[in-house]
Amino acid sequence: MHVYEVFLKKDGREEFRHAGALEASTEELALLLAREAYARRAEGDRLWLVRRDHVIAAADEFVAPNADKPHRHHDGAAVASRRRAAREASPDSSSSGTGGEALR
Amino acid sequence: MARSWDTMEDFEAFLDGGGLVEAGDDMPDPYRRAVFSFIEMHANSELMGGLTERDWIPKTPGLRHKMAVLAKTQDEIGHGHLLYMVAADLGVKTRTQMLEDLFAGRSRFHNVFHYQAVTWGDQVAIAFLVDAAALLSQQAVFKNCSYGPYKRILRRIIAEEGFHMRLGEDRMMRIAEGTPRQRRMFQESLDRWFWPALQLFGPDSKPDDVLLRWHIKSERNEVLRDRWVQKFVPMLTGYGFTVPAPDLRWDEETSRWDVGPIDWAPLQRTLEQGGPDSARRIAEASDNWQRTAWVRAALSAGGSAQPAHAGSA
Amino acid sequence: MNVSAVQEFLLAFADDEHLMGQQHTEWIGVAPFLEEDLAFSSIAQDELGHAALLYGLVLELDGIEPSDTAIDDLAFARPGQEYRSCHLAERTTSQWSEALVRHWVYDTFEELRWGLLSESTLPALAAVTTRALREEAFHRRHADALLDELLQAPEARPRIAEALNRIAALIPGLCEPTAGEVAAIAAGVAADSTAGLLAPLTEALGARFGGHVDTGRVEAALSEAGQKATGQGSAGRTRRSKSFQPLMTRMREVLDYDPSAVW
Repeated sequence: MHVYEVFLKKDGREEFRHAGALEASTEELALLLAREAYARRAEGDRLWLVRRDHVIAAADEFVAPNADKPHRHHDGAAVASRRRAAREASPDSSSSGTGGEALR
Repeated sequence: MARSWDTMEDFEAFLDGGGLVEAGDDMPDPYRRAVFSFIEMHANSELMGGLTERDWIPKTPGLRHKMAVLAKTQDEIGHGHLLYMVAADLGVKTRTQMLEDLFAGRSRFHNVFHYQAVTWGDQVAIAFLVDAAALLSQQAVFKNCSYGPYKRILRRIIAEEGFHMRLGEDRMMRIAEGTPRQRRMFQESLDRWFWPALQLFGPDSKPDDVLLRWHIKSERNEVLRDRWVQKFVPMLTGYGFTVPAPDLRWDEETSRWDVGPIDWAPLQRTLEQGGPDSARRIAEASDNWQRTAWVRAALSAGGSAQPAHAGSA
Repeated sequence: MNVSAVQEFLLAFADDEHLMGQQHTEWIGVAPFLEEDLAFSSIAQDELGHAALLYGLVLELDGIEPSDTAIDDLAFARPGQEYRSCHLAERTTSQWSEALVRHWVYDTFEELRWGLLSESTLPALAAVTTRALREEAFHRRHADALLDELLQAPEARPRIAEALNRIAALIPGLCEPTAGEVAAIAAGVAADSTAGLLAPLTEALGARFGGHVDTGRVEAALSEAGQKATGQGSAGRTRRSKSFQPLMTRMREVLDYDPSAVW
């Protein structure tokens, strides 16, 4: 017996999502049983199965250091503040424009 | 990504902050066991509930009616399946161990499934009253559940229970509008199932209930029970049925129905596998399980189910 | 078109689907493993659904709206001698091996049987056939996937062999036509006789089980039936087996409780 992880996708909407798991002895049985266990109301129109022992899982803390990379998250605060400063310097220019003229 | 917590205080602070625990996390053992027992009992109850309903499925009056009722019970067994898979990933017991404990009478399932559905009216009463009680409990767990895999599975379970509620109410309404004989049958079913359904919520929660502290449950038993009473008492009387509670009264001050004192002895008996139908129920399930052991043995001959591992879900 | 003959022809199929679906409902919660509970129950629902559609066509030929009540009258309220079910579908079993083998045999036959109807001159029947064949493909795959495994397992193989032998004598009855079939073929409702399905069914049975288990008894039953088959209809589908009445009593228990009730 193997444990299979079941993924479903609604066509044109959303990404594949993990729906749950099941046990089966062959790939063919896994597919047929997944259809009834997870998609009997057509919860998705695409179905993926992945054998659990084939999932490549990253080690603990593998991703975590990447949470601290602010340079990859330009939040626009600097742009906003420069735009504000430019607007205040020349009150005539349109506030809703791109600001390209004023910023030059 | 597995996480760990140095102290129980850290862990509880994480839970209080709305944190979700995942299968691979290094959670404190008391929490792991509490979540596991709760999900195991939920799984057992779905399965035993399905078996209670099974007695009447082949006798369902009507072809399309039978399809709808069978689809409902299929969902209940399906919920059992989802829950056993999630529970097994906690690494306390395997799915097979859970089933074998259940069929040996070593583990618990909800009080209501220690009773027998003796008429078709009981089948409708279960779909209407018991499913509603279970749904209220599950919604309360879902709202604030700290164990991620359980919370995600509950979303699906609750959606399906919604179908069942409507099916049960529809069937109840047909009976309410039906013949005197139908109404009498359903009244007798109410007399049998009202109190067990009400007791499904259990006695008042203890002040130090760890299930509440660890955000496995989010509402106290008595609050959920009262919500059920306020919904079903007027509904049943509105359809002309009698609520089998001699001390039932409308409390003017609080504007609420009060069902009077609750005798918890029957609930206690079911917890000890001494309910009215516990012995037959468990023996029959066990017998059926053993009679198909050859299939499971043949299918698993090629390998064995891997234990849960950290990374996947 | 001889309407009542065509109706009899359709009823044979509807009754088979109804009783087969009914037998499958008994397995919810007690199949060998939870995933199989779900799969087998879906097949039961499909077969009951086909029965409802076929009963509906019988009603429509009389100009009757196929309401749930009208369908249920056909499904549950005819006298036993008016049913046209085969005895394999009437048989009640508590053995999962037998339920599985019958599921394979029945669905293998059913796929062939629908194949005779896909070009039907009754447009509604052709439409039902398209729908049913889509579902049937999965029924066969399901039974095959399990048998692929179980026939390889030394401890399971004898049980499958025993189950096949127990139902062997009932298998040819699947192909037995009703008297109304002649008119159905003449009107183009069906392309050919179900009696002609005996040969492909025999072949499929040999391919599935031969080489794994002794199929002697099945082959004997099928070849005996093949010699008798005339395509004119024989008595089998007009007689009820001894399993029928207990089955019907079980199915009718709630209906009989209050015949005037609507549930």
